[in-house]
Amino acid sequence: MIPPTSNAMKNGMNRLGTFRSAAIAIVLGMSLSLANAQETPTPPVGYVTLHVAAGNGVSKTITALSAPLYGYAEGAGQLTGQITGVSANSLSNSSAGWTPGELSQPATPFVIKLTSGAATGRTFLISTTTANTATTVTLDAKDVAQGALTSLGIAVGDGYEIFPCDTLSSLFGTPETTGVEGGTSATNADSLMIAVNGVYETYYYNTNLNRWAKAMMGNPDATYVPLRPDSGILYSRRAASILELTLSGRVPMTGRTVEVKDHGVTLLSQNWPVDITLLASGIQNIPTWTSAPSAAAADQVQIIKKGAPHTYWFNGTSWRKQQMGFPLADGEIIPAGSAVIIDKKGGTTEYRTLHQSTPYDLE
Amino acid sequence: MKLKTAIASLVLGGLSLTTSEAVLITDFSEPDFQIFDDLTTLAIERYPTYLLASGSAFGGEFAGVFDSVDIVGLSDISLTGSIIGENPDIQFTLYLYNTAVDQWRTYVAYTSAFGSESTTVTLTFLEETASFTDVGGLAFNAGGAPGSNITFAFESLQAIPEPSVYALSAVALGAAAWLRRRRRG
Repeated sequence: MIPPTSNAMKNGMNRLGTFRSAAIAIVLGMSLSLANAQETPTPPVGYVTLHVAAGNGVSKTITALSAPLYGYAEGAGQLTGQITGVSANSLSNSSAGWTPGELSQPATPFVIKLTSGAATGRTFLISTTTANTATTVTLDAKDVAQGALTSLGIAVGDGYEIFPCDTLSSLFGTPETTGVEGGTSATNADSLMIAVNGVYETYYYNTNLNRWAKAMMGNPDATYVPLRPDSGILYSRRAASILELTLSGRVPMTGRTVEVKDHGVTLLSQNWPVDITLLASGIQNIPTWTSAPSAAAADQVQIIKKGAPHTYWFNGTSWRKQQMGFPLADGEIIPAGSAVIIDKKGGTTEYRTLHQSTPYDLE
Repeated sequence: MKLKTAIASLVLGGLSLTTSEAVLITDFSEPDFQIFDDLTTLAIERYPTYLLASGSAFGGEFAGVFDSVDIVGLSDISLTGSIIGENPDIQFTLYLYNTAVDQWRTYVAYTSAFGSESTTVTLTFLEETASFTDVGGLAFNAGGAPGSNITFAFESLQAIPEPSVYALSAVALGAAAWLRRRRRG
């Protein structure tokens, strides 16, 4: 089943290698060049345009965003390869040949994604406080807070890929470059929220400091705050104009595996450069997911559309929307480049695993 | 003379009808407006002249049903109310449902348009699933960021007649004036 195409996506795509099916190109409304035929499949590349709804100059309108394409990695050593060692918080490839420290620069953070094995689809931010060596990358402490890497079944021979991680400045630019509205505080500027391990943090572009800042005492520099691929972003637009952001990159070639808080809120990226339905998201299959006849007793998902957060819950058979008549919502669209808020009512501080296959056929 | 009286009656009747059609909800008190608890996450307090909704501005909602009102001629609606306490400066969405609650019209507005005193604001029509006139329900959805709060006093909701209705009213007034002048003459 080919998912519907997002209105947000006016994509173009270049063909870099063998891509035996045009399915994704059709899905994305992209054009293919088949001039270059090689044996090894290469991820299709393209661009996605994110649309941030306008405020009115004083009041803000909220939009859920995510960056569904992967960046291009440049650097010495094997940026795709196989794991030869794993510890509680690091991954190794004895023949990686990475340049020490190159993958650990705060201004240019990287993500490592496992592409095969028991932990396929998991992504981790590479630490920017512990420098990588030629053979080992240490992972960010927040990314291993859910559990030691050794508990994930990662084995020697598992595949990985490394690619750049977006930051506040790389994705949202400045008022001059993208049209994001800055201000002297989060109140009188566009503001955005991200959540790491269930904790929301607010950021804005500070026009006194001429940089991104975290909304807290001292306005700490947030220029290089990483935006993890699995994390959603809640953008509150104050300016009375639509903000459009064009992202380019590679289409994810493997599914993803992500941790969801058993109790509390997870702001989850939609992750894919195509629209998916709520049912196809598989969120209802998260272990210990609570289904119930009414929303009040069930775990919930919120999708923001045109500035309005809507609540959905799974009744054991189908998704329902929390509105008059409680309409069926299995086919509710989660747009490409958006995010959802998962509110789980579990009774533990643990995390539950959501696995999603790619919603398109690359073969 | 009888003909003139009949015309005058029709004119005045038309004006009266136009006026009644413009009113959607004069107040949010019971039993005219009944809160639908299963969809309401905001705390609701009822006062003689307004309904106070407070709570999370991130998707906070209230919904209710009321007797069907004939709103033929509706093009926009205006909301009268006020913000209590700090204005969260957010967009909010208001849904009008038909009596079968299977179709809805969507309107949006910003809280910055409302003050701490009673303010009337014309809501911006956004979209509708299907055209309907048998309004039977209403829902409010706050579009703030997580952690933000809202306290809104809802006083009344009124339909704004289409321009054609205003034109008809103008014609009716003109006719009434003409009749009066003729009578004097």
